Amino acid sequence: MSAISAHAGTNYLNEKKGIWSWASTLDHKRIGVMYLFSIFFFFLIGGIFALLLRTQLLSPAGSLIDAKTYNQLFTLHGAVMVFLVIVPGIAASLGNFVLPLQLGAKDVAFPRLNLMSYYIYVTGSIFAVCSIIFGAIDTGWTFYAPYSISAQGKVTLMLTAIFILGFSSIFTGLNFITTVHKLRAPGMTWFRMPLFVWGIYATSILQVMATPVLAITLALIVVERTLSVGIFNPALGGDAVLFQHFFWFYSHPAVYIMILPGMAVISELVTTFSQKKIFGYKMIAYSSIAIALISFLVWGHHMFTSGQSPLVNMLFSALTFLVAIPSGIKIFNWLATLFKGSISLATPMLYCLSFLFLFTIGGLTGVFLGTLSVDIHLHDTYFVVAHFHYVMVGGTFMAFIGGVYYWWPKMFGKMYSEKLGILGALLVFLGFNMTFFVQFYMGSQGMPRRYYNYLEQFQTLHQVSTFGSYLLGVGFLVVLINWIHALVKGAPAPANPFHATTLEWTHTQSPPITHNFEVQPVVHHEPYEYGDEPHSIHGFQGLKA
Amino acid sequence: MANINGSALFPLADHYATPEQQVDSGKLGMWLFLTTEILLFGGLFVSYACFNYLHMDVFKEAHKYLDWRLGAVNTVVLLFSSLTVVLAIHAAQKQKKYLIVINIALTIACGIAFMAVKYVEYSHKFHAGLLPGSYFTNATIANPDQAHIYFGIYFLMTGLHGFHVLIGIGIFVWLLLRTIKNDFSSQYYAPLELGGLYWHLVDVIWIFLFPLLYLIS
Amino acid sequence: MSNVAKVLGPKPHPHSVWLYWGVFLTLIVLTILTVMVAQHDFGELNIVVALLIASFKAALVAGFFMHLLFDSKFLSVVLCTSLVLLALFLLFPILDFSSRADLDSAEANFLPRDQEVYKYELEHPDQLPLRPGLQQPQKDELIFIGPGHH
Repeated sequence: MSAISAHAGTNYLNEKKGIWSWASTLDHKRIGVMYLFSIFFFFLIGGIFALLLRTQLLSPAGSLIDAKTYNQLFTLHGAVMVFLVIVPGIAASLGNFVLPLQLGAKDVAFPRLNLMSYYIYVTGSIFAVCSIIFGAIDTGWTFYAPYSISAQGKVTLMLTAIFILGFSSIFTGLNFITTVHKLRAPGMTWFRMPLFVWGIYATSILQVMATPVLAITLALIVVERTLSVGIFNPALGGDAVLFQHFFWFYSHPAVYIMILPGMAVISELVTTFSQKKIFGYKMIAYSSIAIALISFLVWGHHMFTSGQSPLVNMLFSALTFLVAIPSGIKIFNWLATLFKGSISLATPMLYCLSFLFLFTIGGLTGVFLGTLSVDIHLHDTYFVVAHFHYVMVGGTFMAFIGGVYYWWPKMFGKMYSEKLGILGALLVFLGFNMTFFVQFYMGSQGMPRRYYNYLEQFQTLHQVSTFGSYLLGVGFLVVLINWIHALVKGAPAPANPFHATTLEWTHTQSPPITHNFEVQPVVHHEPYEYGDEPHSIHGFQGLKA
Repeated sequence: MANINGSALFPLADHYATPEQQVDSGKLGMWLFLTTEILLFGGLFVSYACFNYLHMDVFKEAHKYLDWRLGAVNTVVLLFSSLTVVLAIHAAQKQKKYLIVINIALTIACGIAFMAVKYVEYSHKFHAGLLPGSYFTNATIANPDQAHIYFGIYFLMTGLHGFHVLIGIGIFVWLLLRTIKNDFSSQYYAPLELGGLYWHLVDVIWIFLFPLLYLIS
Repeated sequence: MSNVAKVLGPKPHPHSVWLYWGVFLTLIVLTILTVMVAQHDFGELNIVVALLIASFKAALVAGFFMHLLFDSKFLSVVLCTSLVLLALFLLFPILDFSSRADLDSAEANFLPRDQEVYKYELEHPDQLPLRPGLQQPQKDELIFIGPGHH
């Protein structure tokens, strides 16, 4: 493209070298890459915890690990995956890298704050690791009072870690909102922004508005542990359900912090790999904001069986049905985009299709759980576990991997092996379903969650699930090997291998120069204008539909 | 050149096209941060509201142990300090360095005065054993078993607020030093505005704390 | 991105100092009003009146001192969003507490048949409320025990 001249190979990766140049960087692209590596590192850790849990569950009275260790493992699996992997997740890594590029900006609004966000993340994760090593907690990632007030282990340390991590999330969100408002390229009106930006923007609203409540909740638990104040402890005159109100006021929007960036990625993937204009751009954009706002109205659906009043139970159940609507709108718009598109089953698209299928199941089962009468039976069973893994792993994590594959050529200037990509995607899809689909059935039959032993009748399904988790682990390993191989030996990537239409593909080289654009791009039309002759994806070993 | 006719020029960062864009971004960023503070304190207001609802008699009894006159003094002190903050910004707009310095110094003095009054209040509570949680030792109060909840909330709310006052004092000391170093002028005073926004929020929170803790009966 | 260029800044538009003093004096008057109003007992409305005056004071500070009346409308949207969310956060727990019947009372939360089950379980702890003719299982056959044991 004429907007990109041939450079002698200087780009943001090699312009300045050495550890200090990375540690002191203000470049959003480098910060995004650092986040990416950290997040995947913690994904490995959380994943290992999960595999240990599943291995224990191979037999109903297994004694691979003792009960307390089991409780610690599921607590840490949850805490690490939620706070260190999925909440920062796509937004901190891909969001940091891609958002300014898609806006035609040179950087985010506050580059120094951006670097500080990363260091806050690192600090929080160090505190978390110390807590794991020096006294792993067993309260569950939800830290329910009153147990979390009296539990042994480094509870205060872990809560401090999460408190710190919360600030990383807040500052990232603050940065992105300001960037979207103030640093768009000339000519880029709100409705000319890519949908990835809309998704990240909606996520950022939640990060800024919801996370402070988590901060005060954790601080209150710490105060109760140290000063015995009695806000949540019934023995001292407090109310344990009040803790749940506090906790879920953040943690419900938090799950939308987790899924909205995944949806943001899917909007990009579905259009690029159908080479077709996205169907219902405005509906998808509005739905992102709607999801963000409605997500604040439904937190009580985590508390249907906790002792909340029947009136409030009913209110929350009704409101929960509302929040499913914008998600459904998005799914239908994406499907309509696929219809009559020139579909290319490249690796990112395989993850995109996985998302569409798996997130639909996850979202639908969420509606089942939001139905008050049904939830009485399903609460705290494997049905819930299956539901949230379908949305978080089948949804967000599929989108995450798909997004990393998609932007990989742009980030690193290298291509990955398409064959390994396809193999990994198939293994992950198969392994994931094998692990979690049976859990819906087990939950409906009464298998409780967080149980270290179980009734014999569940053994076969548990074994299926465990073998599925091993398959899933292998799949992720294949993905990792593909990426490492690509970093070391990948073929050089062109500027726009997938014939996408957004600014990061059309106006920058792969990888981009430090200042992103040689010339400030000016935007004249909406994104996703593929013209009458959509390109099929030549030049790399993709399968064609 | 670092300044024009002796006044500091605007330092425009590389990724911004115009100074207005940079100033507006800073304001938006600071307002977003202030909303996080609102929701942070909001959690404590919710605790207050819930416990007031559940233990209204405890609250009515316990709040009598707070001296509303000291609370009123602190309210006036903070309101005055908000005034001095906007006067400092006004002075910057008029390019009157000495006036910026005076007003920032007054703001800092008000902050210190606030903390001094707070110290008086807290030491009275310490002596009377009106402390949160397991440290509560007062025997004369009407429902000692539950009064510790009230004082827990009292210390949390005023303590967190006082912590923010301290941070605000620190910010204004930094701004004072920068003013003395001629960093600001009618061309550039954005940090004063942003620091001011933070300070005003601290004032607004106290505007709500005062009646809720000291006056409701 | 750490490069910084020195340029001419935007032209400031200062307000009159008397505006600020006027707002300040209004705030002082309102503070006095707050204290005076607190001497009267409005019953349930005590808290409402106090919060109304406080909100008006806060609005003055936000509008004039924090410049919201003169700045971009979006900043006011940001503030109002956080206030709406805070209101939600206040509303639901209070609604929850105020609409809970006494949870220990069987009449409030259970249907008539369940009331009998509940009464049976209270009177016969450690026994399952089985249909007549069925035998109580052995203790060691049970993994899941009845209510009250967690």
